[in-house]
Order: sequence, then structure tokens, then C-alpha cells
Amino acid sequence: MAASFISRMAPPRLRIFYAILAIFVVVALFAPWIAPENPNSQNLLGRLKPPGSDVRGITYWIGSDELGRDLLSRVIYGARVSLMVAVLSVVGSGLVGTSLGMIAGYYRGVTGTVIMRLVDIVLSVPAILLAIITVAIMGPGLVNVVIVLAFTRWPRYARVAYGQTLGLMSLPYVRLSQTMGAAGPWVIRRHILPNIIGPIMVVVTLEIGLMVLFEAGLSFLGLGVQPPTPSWGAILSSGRNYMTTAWWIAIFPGLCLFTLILSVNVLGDHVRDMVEKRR
Amino acid sequence: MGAFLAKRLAQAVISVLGVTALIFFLQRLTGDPVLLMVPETATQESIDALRTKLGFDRSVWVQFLEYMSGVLRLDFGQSIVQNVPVLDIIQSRLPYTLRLAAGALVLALGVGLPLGVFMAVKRNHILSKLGMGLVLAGQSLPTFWSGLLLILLFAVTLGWLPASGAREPSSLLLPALTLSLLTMATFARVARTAVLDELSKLYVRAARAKGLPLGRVVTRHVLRNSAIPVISIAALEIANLLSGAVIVETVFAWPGLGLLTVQSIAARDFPIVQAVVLLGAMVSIALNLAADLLYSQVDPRIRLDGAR
Repeated sequence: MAASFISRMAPPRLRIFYAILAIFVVVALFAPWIAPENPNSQNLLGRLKPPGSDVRGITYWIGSDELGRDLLSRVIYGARVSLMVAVLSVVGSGLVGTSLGMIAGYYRGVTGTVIMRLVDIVLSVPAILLAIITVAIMGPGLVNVVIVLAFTRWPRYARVAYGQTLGLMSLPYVRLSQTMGAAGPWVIRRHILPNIIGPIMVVVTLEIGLMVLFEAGLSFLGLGVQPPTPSWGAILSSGRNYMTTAWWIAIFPGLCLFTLILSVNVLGDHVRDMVEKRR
Repeated sequence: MGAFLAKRLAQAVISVLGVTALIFFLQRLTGDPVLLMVPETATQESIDALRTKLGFDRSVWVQFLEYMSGVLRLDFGQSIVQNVPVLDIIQSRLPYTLRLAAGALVLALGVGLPLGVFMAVKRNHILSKLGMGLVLAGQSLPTFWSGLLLILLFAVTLGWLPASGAREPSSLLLPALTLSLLTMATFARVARTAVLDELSKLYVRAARAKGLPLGRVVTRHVLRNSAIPVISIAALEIANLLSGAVIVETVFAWPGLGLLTVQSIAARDFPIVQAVVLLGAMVSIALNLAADLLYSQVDPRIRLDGAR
């Protein structure tokens, strides 16, 4: 049973992507122990050093940036920022969206119409534009980015939760518990939520990669996490000015972003296929 | 058809009004809009003066109605920094973004569709497997990184193309290619799925059984029938291209609406930011509507279902 679950969830061709994801998670969790240097400590003698340079006993494995900070340490701490923002914003938007979607589907009527109209409206603004204008209003920073992403993305969950809840409403066990006088919140928690969690998890896995991308994009535009906090998008943005002299500043954080998003997307597709096949 | 059209039009109008209200109140709820527009060192007197000048000292509802009626007349107010109507600035930048998005769309369609059809028809060909890998990679590449990679290769190392700006016609190539990658991958994927779906149908087997070569079945029958999902995706992808332009224009210093937005945020020129986002939303709503209408034209089942 357990073995077949593992071989279904992680067939051999996908194990490399699980491994990549696991590496990023471990690196993010244990950044202070893994990073060789303090990501913010500057060294004016060690500015823009190529990968493998040695300056006064410090080895810059993947080079240093324009302030002589160790790029490897910054990229390692960047994984922390990236994954933290992604997970927090997915949790935030998932909780809000799923709750509102279930409420809209369960009670329908005016409440349902208002919620689902709001979903349509928020979804009609291109997500990156909505995120940009909200950050412009609220100001940049890590906490604000999480709030903005949660605010921008909750309708995705609401739409799925709404559709799924509507489908469940006519099932005998839901009608029976209503007839027996169970209160709405109880039915939602007890009967609706456990039955829609699969499709919601599919949205979660597909959204995580997008959130990593959005955080990096906002930080690249200078609207996300603020310096000196290391974020892949922000490091890339500063590396842009040194493309001719120090290509490594832009290459390595971008490579991390690409492999992380690729792994999450491949695994997300797989989870979706599995859930769809089961239905 | 009439009922369906009316319903979808009404939905689109509600969405436009809703987005306008959303953006207006978002800005009002999160604090004093005047503070967004002045430098951090501004004195209280100059803040008060600007507030009176811009009419922010009146009731929120008066401001909202005035703002709504302005938007309906395409009057987005004055730029605070440049002191000219926002619409003029947008009109001067819009052609660049349109040119960029059009270039990207041509590339994405020109490469993505044939690739998708090939990957479906020659499903087990080694090139198809390679193509699927490229599609996956294309969907995971952040544009701000692929753009820098292309600059590094074609501008810095090879010196073939300009790295930024819009001075020469060839300046369009790198930004358009960067912007097109994600859309290209999406088209290839959608086209592949659509063609695979059609190929499994009975009429294809019948046509093959009576001796029609595969190539002819594909060009005569399959392509037309698999166009539906591609058409509907195309409209949505145009919206994605326009919003993706924000980042690509920043990477390549391409003087379109995206760069304008980022510059206006830095300059605290809020009316411009607001107008661009609003326009983006309206275009995306219009494209969605167009996609639905096109879709219902091609597939009558949707039309009937929607009108019910």
C-alpha cells in the first residue's frame, strides 16, 4: 500500500524534481547553518569577484556582488525569502478563497452572488498589474508582498471551492445532515471541506510556482522585498547593471528560480493528473 | 444568440465598473492618496495645497462619481509630475507596447502552433520528446531572467542585436522573443492536446481506413476541428502578453506602457499607474468577451448552454 502510493506519487522520472524541491526546502530552512558567510556583510576588497575567487581567506564559490557580498550566501538566504513568501501567500489566499468559495456555494442567494461577482472582478484584472498597483499603494516590503499576493490570488481558490461545493450540495449525506438540523458552519467543516480538499490542493501546487515567480518579479521591479534582504529577484535586478563585467550575479539566482519553478510545475502537473484520474 | 450576447455583455460591463470601483477604493482605503503622490520630505502645507488642488478634500462619493464619469470619457486626469493629461502620455507610449505584443504574438503563433501540431502527429518522435521538454522549460522561465540571458548571448557576447532601447528596428527582436517564450510554450501545449484529442476520433480512423494519407487528414480535417481551444486561448494569451510587457519592457528599457508604469510608481505619479492598470483590465475583459463570443460562434453547444 505504502509502496504503491510512493510509486504513484513519485514515479522514477519525477524523483529528480522531488530531490530539487527537497534541496531548496532544506537550504531555506537551514540557511544560517549552510551559508558560508553573512549574506549582508560587505567587503570592499572583494567587489565583483568571479566564481572561485579567494579574497583574504574568504572563498566566493559563485562570485561576489557589487558590494563584495558573498553571492552564494545571498542566494541561499534568497531561497528562504522566496519559499517563505510563496508558502505564506498560498496559505493566506487558500484559506480566504476556500472559505469564501464554500460559503458562496453553501448559502448561495445574495451572499453567493456578491462573493462570486467579486471573484469575477478581481480575476478580470491581469494578476501582475493588480499586484503592482496594490504594492504601489501599500508600499513594498516582505509582509506587504504576502498580503498583496494573497489578495490577488484568493479568487482562484474561491472559484474551485464554489464549483465543488455546489456539486456536493445535492448529495444525500449533505441533505440528510441539513434535514437533521445541523448548522451551516458544521456541515461545511464536516462534510464539504474534506471532500473538496483534493481539487484545492491541485490549485495550491499550481499556485506555488506562480507565487515564487511573482515575488521575484515584484522584487525585480523594486516593489518587493527591500534591500539589503536578499531576494532572487532583487539580486537579478542589481546584476542587470553588471551583465558585461560580472555575469554571475544575474545568472545564479536566475538558475535557482528556474529550477525551483520547473520542479514545482512538473510536480504540480503530476498531482493534477493524479487527482483528475481518481475522479 | 441574442440572450447569450446580452448576458455576456452585461457581465463585462459589471466587471469594468467593478474594477474601476475596486481600484478607486483600494487607493482610498489604504490611506491618504495625496501622501502617495508627494515626496517623503513634503511639508504639511504643500500636502494640503495639493489635496485641495486635486479635489481630495471633498467627500469620497463625490470624488468617486467624478472619477467614474471621467473614466467613461477616457479622462484619467493629469499626470502629477509632467502636468499633462494622462491620456496623452498613454497615447504616446501605447504604440510601443502594441508593437512589442504583436511581435511576440507572431513569434508565439509561428513557432508554437507548428511545434504543437508536430508533437501530436509525431507523438513518439525524439524531437517531440525534446519539444515537450522545451515547452516545460518555457513555462518555467521567468521573463526577467530569459531576457537577461538573451542580452548576454546576442548583445554582449555576439554583438548582433542591441541590448536595450527602441532606436533601431532590430531592437524589437530580443524583447519580442523574450515576451513570446511563455505564450509560445502555451500555444504548443494547447495545440498538441487539441490535435491529439481529434486524432483519437472515429472520423480520423475512417478517413485513414479509406486510404487517405495522415498528412492530408491532418490538414483537411483535424486542424480545423482542433482550432477551437486554440482560438479561445489566443485571446487570453494576448492579455497575458500585454501584462507581461511590464517586466520585459523594464529589462530592455523598451519605452512602452509597462516601463511607463514602473517609472510612474518610482516617481509617485499615481494617476498614470491607475490609468494603465484600468486600461489593462478593460482590455483583458474585452478579450475575454471576444474569446467567449468566438468560441460560441464555432461551437453552438456553448451558445445554447450560456443562454439558458
